[in-house]
Amino acid sequence: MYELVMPCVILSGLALVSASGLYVASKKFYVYEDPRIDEIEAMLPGANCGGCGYAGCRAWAENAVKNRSVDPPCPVANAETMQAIARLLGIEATVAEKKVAALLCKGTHQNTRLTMEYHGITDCWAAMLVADSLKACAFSCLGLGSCLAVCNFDAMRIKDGIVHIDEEKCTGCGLCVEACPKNLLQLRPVSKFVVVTCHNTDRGADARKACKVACIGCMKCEKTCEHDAIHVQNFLAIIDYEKCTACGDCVAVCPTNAIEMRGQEVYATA
Amino acid sequence: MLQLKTFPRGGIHPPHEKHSANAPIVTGEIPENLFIPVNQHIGKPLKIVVKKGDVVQRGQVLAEATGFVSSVVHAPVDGKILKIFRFPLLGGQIREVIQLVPNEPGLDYGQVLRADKQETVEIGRLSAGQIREIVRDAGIIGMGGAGFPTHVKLSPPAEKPIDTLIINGAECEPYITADHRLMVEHGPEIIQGIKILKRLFNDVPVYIGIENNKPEAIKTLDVLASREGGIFVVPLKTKYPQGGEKQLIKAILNREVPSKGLPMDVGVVVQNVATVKAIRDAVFCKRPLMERVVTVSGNLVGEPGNILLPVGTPVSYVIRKFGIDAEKIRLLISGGPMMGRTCHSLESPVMKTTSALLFFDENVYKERAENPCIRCGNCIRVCPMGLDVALYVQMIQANALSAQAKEHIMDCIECGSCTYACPADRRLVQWMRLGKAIIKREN
Repeated sequence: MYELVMPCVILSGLALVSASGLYVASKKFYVYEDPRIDEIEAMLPGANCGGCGYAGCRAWAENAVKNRSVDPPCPVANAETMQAIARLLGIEATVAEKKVAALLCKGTHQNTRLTMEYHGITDCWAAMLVADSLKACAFSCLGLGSCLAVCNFDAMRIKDGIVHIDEEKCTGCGLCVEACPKNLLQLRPVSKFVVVTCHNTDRGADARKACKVACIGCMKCEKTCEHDAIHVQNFLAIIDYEKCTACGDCVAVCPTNAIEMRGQEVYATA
Repeated sequence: MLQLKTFPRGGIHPPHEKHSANAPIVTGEIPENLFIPVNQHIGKPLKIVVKKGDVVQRGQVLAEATGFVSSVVHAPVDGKILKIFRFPLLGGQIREVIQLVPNEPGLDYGQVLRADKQETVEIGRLSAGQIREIVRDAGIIGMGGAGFPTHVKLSPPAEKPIDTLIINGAECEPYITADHRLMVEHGPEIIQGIKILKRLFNDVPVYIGIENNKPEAIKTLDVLASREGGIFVVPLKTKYPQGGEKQLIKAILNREVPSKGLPMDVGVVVQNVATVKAIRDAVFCKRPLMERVVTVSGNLVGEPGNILLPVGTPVSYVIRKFGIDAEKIRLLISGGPMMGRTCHSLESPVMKTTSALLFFDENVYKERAENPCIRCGNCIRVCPMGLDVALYVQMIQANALSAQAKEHIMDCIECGSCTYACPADRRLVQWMRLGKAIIKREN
């Protein structure tokens, strides 16, 4: 009997001492942490994409509570979430519209043509070390997917040599914008459906020779626009999304289809 | 027996393939169109000073320098500017070129060269400043391939005294024989050029490094150099990359250029033989750098040769001149097969740095898929810079570069030995170049 009782007593005693030690330590070394940090973190998307500039969602939440501010806003969360977080912190949130990424190129294999075979590393930056462009157009999308590699939301696909963006999945975090060596990705407010899908700053004739759907800088869109929102610089039309109302007048007059209305349904049918 | 000098670490022995070694340098006709690239050098971009429709003379400046590290471009023949536009160059970049329509297409370029005035110049009377000015105004850049403006190399800061001059005639790349022929045929001019450089650096000793697979060149220059004082021809072991600046200094002087340093840090200036010839032409003929010797070789070329071409000559002219079947071209390399670039346009122009044009058909071209690393360590063994290539490439692939790796990757000279030695066909040099690009982007 003794052989059974003694171990039980010793182990129970040990457990008691350890438990009380832990209890004392947890009281003595307690660090107060704002419960709102956990709450906010739960409300955030949890993608840890780093699009806001912080190391992750928790880091953003800590900063939001510490500074009582939702600036810079989480680029992934929708407006309601941001407002809910702002309410929790007792501040007013100025909510920006959701943005999505758009590719400023339609240089598919049908519209422009490949001028070389590339067998190197599948990465746009690596390809740029070998040649400025794999296609006839010097400004076109290389289609090797450096943007795809950084996308956390599975929003990009490569088809016909260019990148297609699923605007439903895209959260506008902007990681791909930085990853593109050709500067072909741009964030636009989701309600402004108009995109100039070209980035060619060559003269009109040269641009047209390189690609069927290039912007040739003909100025028709600039003349048509009633809102002073589209301007041609260096033979390339650029939309000012602050002024654009997405009326679609420029899309109608563009002779090369370089401007397009890009709703969510465009890619579903493409 | 005296052992030949070489660099101690790494290196490879690719087949020499110097088919055009006995073909004398010929001149061609002036082509119908010249596409003169504006920026052929490393450094600040140039400002174009001519416009569409301008009539230009041979030797007239087309684009002028915008800073110290910048090198002017001249018109090689009389003609008219047709257009200035963006065009793919041999290196794959798409850059501005000036299209020049010569007045006399079809005229032998040798005649144009002979028409240039030869002057007898007393080198002793030229001051160092004057020589640098002549070199700068002649638009001379390193003709070995990198294209660094020569006048910058010739102006080391006062706190870095130069005690040795090395002339690079190693030409370690397979196929290329342009420098070899230049040394054999234009030895006296090269010695004159060396004397100009000696004048610039207060009579420092000069070593001409030549690989021992070019006995003719070694003999020619040795005979000429023995008549002058302080010029020594050093035969080197044939090993790639013997012609790398740092490898050459290590082989000849046993000095090691520090990491991220320049040859001037160890008191050395290295110049390519073709550059030396260009310096001589600039001083003695008042001729800016407007033409260069290009080796035309590869298995599609029936009679491989060396040809003197004005800068801006399109590749298509070479194809016609050498009777190459354009339909069969599967691979065109500008420069040597180790460090050269594959090209994608047959209209791209020859530049000041184009040492060779190599044409291959599909028998030579083999498409290979990149396989996983098998950890054999070949790349590490052959790296002349002693880099742990396999490890760094893994880091680059995983996008997890350590601080120490970042320091070392920048030492890579992109010689291609690792890719040559890799049994898994990994694109090691491209990965290393990508790593360098990533590090440069971060800074």
